[in-house]
Amino acid sequence: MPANRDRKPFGFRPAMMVLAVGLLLLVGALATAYQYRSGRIEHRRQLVTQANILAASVTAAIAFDDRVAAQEYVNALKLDPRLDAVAVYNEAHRQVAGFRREGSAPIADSGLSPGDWHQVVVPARQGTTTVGRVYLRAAALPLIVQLARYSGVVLLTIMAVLMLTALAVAQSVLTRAHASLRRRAAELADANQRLSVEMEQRARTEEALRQSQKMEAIGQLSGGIAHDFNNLLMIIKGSLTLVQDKLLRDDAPAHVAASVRQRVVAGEAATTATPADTGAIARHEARQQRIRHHLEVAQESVERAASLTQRLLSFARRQPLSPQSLQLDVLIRNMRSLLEHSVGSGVKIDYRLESRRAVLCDANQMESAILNLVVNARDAMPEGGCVAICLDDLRVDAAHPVSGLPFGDYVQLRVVDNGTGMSEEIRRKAFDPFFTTKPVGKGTGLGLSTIFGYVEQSHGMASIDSAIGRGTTVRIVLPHASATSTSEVA
Amino acid sequence: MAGLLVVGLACAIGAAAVHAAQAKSPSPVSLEYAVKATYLYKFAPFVTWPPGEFASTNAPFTICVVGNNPFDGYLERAVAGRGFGGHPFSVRRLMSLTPDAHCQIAFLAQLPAQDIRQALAAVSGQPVLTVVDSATPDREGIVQFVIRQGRVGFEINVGAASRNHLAISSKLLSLALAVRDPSCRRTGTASRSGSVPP
Repeated sequence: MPANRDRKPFGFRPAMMVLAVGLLLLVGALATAYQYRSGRIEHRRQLVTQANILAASVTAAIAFDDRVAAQEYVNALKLDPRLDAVAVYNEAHRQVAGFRREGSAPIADSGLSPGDWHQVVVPARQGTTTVGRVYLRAAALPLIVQLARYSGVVLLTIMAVLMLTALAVAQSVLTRAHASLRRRAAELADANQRLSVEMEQRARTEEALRQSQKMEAIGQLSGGIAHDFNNLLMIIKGSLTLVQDKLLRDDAPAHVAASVRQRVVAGEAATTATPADTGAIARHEARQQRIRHHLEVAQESVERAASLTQRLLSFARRQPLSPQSLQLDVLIRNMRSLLEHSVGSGVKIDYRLESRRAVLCDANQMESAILNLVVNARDAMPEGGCVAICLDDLRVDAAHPVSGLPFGDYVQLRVVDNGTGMSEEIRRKAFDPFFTTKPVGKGTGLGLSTIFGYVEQSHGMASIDSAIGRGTTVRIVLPHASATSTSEVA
Repeated sequence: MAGLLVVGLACAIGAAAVHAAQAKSPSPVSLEYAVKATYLYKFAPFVTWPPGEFASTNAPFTICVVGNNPFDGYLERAVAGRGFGGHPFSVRRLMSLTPDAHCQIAFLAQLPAQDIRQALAAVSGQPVLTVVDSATPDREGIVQFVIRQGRVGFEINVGAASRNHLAISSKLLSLALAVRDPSCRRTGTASRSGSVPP
């Protein structure tokens, strides 16, 4: 997760914080130790200086054993509370002067132990002649004074440690808040994406539903009309046939003979026809001819109307089909000459028939559908091109769902052209009946809608994929006819 | 009186000095002169002789005892092994002080052959620290031993010292019972009385 990866470098690290605090404490301790040491050295230097001053002043008093004068000099040092004891010895190791505070031990004239930093001894010299020695002993500092001396550093260290700790805590709180914010932002983004995907899907579903409802409505309407219309056409057709039969049975010569027979009965010669009779017969025949012609036109129109209603019925999935198990590749191979004849020399047909599966469909309708699609493809390529007829297996399952199809095995037929293509608006209306982009009189607008109805009736799916300038792919997916269903039909 | 003085002096001088005196001296010298002998060589560090006083760096520092010798060999024993800045002390006995005596310190006691004044005049202008015994007081000497309240003390004549081209340390002056400077007509009297030994 990127959030985790990002979080690391800025994250709160307790180890680092502990290290920093430890370093701080160490530095504080070092500073205290240094202060202690330098304080001691300084103190000792002061002691030595005091001793030297005393030694320099008191030489004559030592030399001439003037205790009063020596004691006067020594008493001057008494004012310094840091001094515990002072002693002045002459050459003969006799104390000439000195003082000691209450409770402190006397100073013996016997050198110093090296570790005793409280006490210093300096020789009293006059010129090059040593006349005696001066001892000074510092008072031990009270604990409270010593503590007060280092309290500054200790206080600073404690403050720094406290600040660091506060910083660390604040940092950790911030980091936690930051992480939770990030998590929430990620969740929100996720939810948003899910929502938009769902919305898109919903829009698509709604569009499909609308399309299917539209097709359903048109189908029902046109199917109902076509059905009734077909019945009416059948009646008209039958009646026309009857009229024609009637007309043909009562033919003109019989009619003329009847009028001649009437005239024989009236006593006229029946052997020869009069010129007037001949003219009457000719007129009669011409009239009959015209009527027949009109009848034929009417019958032709009825035929055409019946064909139209048939196709409407086909779109409305109400046409009678005779489904049978067949292999589309075989079917298409058998149609090759027909297809190539239909598209002409300017267009090449590329067959990619890779499926051997059988489907259950009406062979005639299938043929007409393929022909229709190929012709459409040719029409989309006025300057020639290539049409590919692709046939392959398709499996619809959870991993590869196709909307509107239940899971299972299918055969997919695609007719692909690299022609002009169509806009999204046209693509959406392409299956509508009577929708055509061809000039008036050239197309009926029923080709694709017929295919749509037929495929739907065969439990398959038809769809169009197209973009302007990139050509069009019409896809027909039909369910694979399993052995059982095939045998049932057989 | 003399007995009292001796007792007082015995208390005043260092026990070690007494020990030394007793140990080193078969014929005991009086404590007063033992102290005076000690003082004699102890003056040296507090006095500055003019440069060139000594012929070499290890030339002896001569203490001349002029006239009768009251120390009876104590002084020689006391200075034995001591020196002043590399110059070992040596003691000379003179009957009279002459300008060519070559003394750094001249102690003048009872002079059989010479008047004290004459002796002082003989070395006047020469770098000689003249010390006059308390028994024969003369204010023209640079240092004058005095006995006060049972203690050996001394007075210093700064004028005489400067005549003899000697500088005397103020530390020594501060210990003097009196400091005189006749050239300034200023007579410092004893600023402080000698203390009674405990």
